[in-house]
Amino acid sequence: MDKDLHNIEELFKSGLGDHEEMPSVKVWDAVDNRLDKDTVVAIKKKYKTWKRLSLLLLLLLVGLSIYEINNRYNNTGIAKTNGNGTDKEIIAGNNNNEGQPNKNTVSSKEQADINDINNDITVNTIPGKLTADKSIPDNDVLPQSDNNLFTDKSGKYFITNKKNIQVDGNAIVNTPASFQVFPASIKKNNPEKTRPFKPLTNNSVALVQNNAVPVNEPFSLPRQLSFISIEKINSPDFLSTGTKKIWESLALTKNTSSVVAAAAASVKKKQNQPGSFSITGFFSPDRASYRLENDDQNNQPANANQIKKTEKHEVSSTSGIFVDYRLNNRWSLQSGVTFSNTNISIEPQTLYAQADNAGDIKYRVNLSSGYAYILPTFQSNPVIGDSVYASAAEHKLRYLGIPLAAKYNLTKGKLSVEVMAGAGINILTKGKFETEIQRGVNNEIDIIDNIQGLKSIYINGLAGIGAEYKVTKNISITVMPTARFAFMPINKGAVVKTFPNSFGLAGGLKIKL
Amino acid sequence: MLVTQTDILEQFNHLIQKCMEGNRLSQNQLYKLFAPKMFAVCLRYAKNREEAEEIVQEGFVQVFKSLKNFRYQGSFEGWIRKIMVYCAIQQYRGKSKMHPVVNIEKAEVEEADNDDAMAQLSKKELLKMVQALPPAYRMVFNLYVFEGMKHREIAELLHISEGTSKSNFFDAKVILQKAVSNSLKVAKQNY
Repeated sequence: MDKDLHNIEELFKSGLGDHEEMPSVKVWDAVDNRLDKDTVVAIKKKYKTWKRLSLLLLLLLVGLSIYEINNRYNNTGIAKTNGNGTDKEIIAGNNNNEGQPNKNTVSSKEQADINDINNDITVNTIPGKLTADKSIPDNDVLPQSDNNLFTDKSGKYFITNKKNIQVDGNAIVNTPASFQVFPASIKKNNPEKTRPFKPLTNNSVALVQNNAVPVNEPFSLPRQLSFISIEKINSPDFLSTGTKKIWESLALTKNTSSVVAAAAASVKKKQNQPGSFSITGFFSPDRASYRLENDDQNNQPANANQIKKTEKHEVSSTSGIFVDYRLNNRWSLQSGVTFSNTNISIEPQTLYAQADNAGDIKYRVNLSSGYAYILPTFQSNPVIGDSVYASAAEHKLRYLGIPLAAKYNLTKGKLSVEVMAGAGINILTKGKFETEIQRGVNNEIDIIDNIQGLKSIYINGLAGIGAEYKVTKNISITVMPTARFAFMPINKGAVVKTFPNSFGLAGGLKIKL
Repeated sequence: MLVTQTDILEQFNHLIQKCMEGNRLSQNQLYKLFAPKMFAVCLRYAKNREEAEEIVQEGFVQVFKSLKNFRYQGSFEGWIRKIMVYCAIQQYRGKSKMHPVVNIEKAEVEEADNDDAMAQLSKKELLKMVQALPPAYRMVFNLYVFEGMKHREIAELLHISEGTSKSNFFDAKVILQKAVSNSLKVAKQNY
């Protein structure tokens, strides 16, 4: 029986071994069509990169546009005057620091009127007419700005930029460029009592209408401009007719609360203003790990447990630049660019030859991120089932990340505590596998730059809590322990589905713009 | 003018180069050159002609896409053949694993002389017998007999145990033996 069966093998081998037969014409037509289709797909893939780059640039453009619009709104919107229904942009300094007013945007007529004020004030500094001379403290008590507050006899006051103020029994204001509320040292009727400089408050602003100058009420920035209620303040008596006209045009009414707010806002530190940007350069040593799930779609011998046993995470890191956009005192948005680097070492193992996707027989290695085929030069024609011994191996992944996170911060003095949560898109820039194949004394190092089964993009979540210490007005040191966890596997069609996680201690330098 | 082997090799390398560049005319020439042999290979792995045409079509697409990986080491025909076999295996994997149960216990085997049988059985008849095998048996039989693979390698390739591979091969041979015997009987009766 066995002899007969052996004959059967020979019978078929000799009978069919040299058999040849031409397939039908439609086979070539189908091949032709498939090749055309693949060419189109290849072209589409080629332009996919450009599409992504275009989208990125578009997002950047939109971001810059929002920033620009926001910037313009801050500079112009709040400083518009509504007196008598005519908008006059006299601009009170808002966005600049330390109360330095912006350059005024005035028409030539308005400039002439302002010049009138200068002249009028200077001319009308008649002793006894003004109590401003009593109100202005000594130079050493003046606030750290060029602005001062004047009161007339009745207790009403106006505020102006101080260019040159001389206190010599009279107030001489040489070049006030615009009217503006600004904190100043104020003396009560009792000249002996000089109240030190205090920031503006809602309450204090409200007191203006009562012609009462508070002594102990500090001023601060009103949070909601709409809450400010300022009744019209009559022009001081000492002003000339021309100056009064300008005073009226400036219209310190409830509608001009923006002027008051603009001035008050200048007191606020710039970094606490909504709409401000800051940049943080950071570096984070990471402790990386992953969650593996068996991928049943692929019937390969390796599994999650086996990979977990052979792979070990080495030192990994993340670095990059964050851009923060402050929404208000508490909340801000964070985005930027990160570069992550994950290194995984693999224990020595035996690799077996298998047919790759193209039908070539190569040695296959299964990784947590995908798989790779190796063909050592000393064994370039293996047959299925052949094996080689890989004595050491390393596996590197590089990603470019674009995070978007919301941050909540609590500030006390120079120290802020921040809580952050968000998500990020990670774009694969490099997936590299390097191994040393044993070949007697002279081992061969094989490097594979294209790990198969590795997705080009994955999305992860971010969460962290950290602290920020203000070193100078614009520079801070930040420390933010951050956890990153993948929402989706980084691979497809491999023996496992891999969800990378990491925990890093990000430290950086923050510069406020 | 005498055409040397070197000239033929150079022409062939030039043809491959053109195919790599995507020249459709050259690809057609290459197809015509190897299609008859490769189709015969695919016919053995398939259950019918239509299925064989699907395999050979997929195989040649893979050949043209993978030409850049060919390193001019070893036979080009062998390289193409490997791709065809791999495509056949892929198609076998993609098909349902529910195969008809074959009762081989009742198979009556009659002794037959190879030369005699060859004389009486045409290639088409032999091919039909192979195609009539259950897919799992057909795969193991083809890989063992025509590709010269060992049971260990077949087991790894088809993700079955070595024992299953041997068992399938044995059963395949029994079925074929019976088919050959029956065919010879019919031939004798007709004669």
